[in-house]
Amino acid sequence: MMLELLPQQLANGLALGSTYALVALGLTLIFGVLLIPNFAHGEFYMLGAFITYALVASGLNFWLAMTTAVVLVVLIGWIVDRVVFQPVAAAPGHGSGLSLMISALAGSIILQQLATIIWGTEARTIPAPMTGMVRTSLFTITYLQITIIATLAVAWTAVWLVLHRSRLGLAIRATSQNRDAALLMGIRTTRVRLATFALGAALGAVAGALLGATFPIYPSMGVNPVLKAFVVLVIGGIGSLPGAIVGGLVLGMVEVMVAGYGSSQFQDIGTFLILVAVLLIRPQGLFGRAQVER
Amino acid sequence: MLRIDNLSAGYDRLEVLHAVSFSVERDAPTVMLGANGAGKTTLCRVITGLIPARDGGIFLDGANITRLDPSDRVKRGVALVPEGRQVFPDMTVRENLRLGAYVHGEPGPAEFDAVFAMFPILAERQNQRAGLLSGGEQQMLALARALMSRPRLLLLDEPSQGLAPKAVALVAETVNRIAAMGVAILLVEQNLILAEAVARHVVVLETGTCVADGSASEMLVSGAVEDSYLGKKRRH
Repeated sequence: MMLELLPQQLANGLALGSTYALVALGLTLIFGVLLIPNFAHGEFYMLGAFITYALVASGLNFWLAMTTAVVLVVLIGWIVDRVVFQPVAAAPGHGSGLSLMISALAGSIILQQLATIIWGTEARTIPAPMTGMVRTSLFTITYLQITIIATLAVAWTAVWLVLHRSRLGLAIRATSQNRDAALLMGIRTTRVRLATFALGAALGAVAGALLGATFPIYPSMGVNPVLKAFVVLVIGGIGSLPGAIVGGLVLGMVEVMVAGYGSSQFQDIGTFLILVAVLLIRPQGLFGRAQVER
Repeated sequence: MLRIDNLSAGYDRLEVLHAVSFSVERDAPTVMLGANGAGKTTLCRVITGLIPARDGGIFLDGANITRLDPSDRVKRGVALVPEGRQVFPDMTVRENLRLGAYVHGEPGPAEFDAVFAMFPILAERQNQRAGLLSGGEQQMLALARALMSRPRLLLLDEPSQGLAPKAVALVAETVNRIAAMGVAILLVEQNLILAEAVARHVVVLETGTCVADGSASEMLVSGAVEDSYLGKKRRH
């Protein structure tokens, strides 16, 4: 039954899943290292899209615009951390997950409102930086989709290299595994914090710019992807980077399959069925490690 | 070497340490005895800068380090082997050791060789994840990691916890070797067997206050310490 459509669905799922994975990668990094459930991550993504849009509209080349957007969003991410999260973490009786979550939601709403004041609520589109597609006998895939998948591969490699081949990465991993022990090693957590936020925000901005060239953009566009990214985190294993990638791709595939072979109304049901299944069978997530005390 | 002067500290509204004063000399490894909740771990956390001092001062070779952040204290030679060992479980033994040397940059082969000579088991396991080591091996790793920071003062917070007697003996032997290298030792313990093996100087902490301070020979031999302050009998 419609089996001839399968390769096409897989290609679409891979492209969609890659954007989920990009969003989830930034989110899992910030959560894994700093324990911040950063709902404002969706707004990094939204701002990545809007800043790219604004710069392209003023005549800049898409790739230059995206790069500038990444830099600006990193800066915004730094401000959000300074204004929203650091005061909460430093307060007495500090940094309970709940107060950080509420702060994150507040940050998210403020950024959305700011975008609404600047750009209004109507949906816009970024002119696609490239047109054309590859046609094979089994499926067609646009150059833009290929670019998104390739970007995920490049982003993942870059993050992996930073984490596993640099001293900063060693410090980031140490902090994520045991914050107090990292302090005892003489690691300055402010630096780790800055780097983590910058990496996470940059990943969000890239995802936003690329998706904004495919789908309409609007100030609340980040809300849904960030919720999905949290689902991806749970599926892949919280704090696990490979988990974010695989979880994102699985989620993209499932959504496309459910929409293609069932109905797009059931898309979210598919998502949450997967979530429940993972929670029942492997509660620590596909790549998560069960906590063992020795 | 280390002088603690009227030090007070705590968490939120709870003050745990009240005007604690004592000192640690390089040639007299010091053991701080105290029951659970006496404030031993809090003391280790204040000395290393993980929590701020509310009052009083911490002096290292005469220099006031009370307001320095943890990183600067590590650079000055303060190292802690924390309670529960706190190795980085998802990193290899070698990466844990690299982190120990973090403030000095990337360690060279000579530095690895020096700790591997002292802890041969770690040389064998250097590419294994630290989380897979046994409790005793993790304790050795925590000690080795602290040594990588080239400490002048080594704090140990209940290193005997959860270890078999044989492993405790190995910890005692290792700590004595480190002391012989000229590193000042402050060992916080409840385990009298380990305390006796290491101590030249004993301080007793009770509900956040220093209640006794003297040489090991006068304090431990009498057996008075455990009866009055630890609330338990010596185990042989």
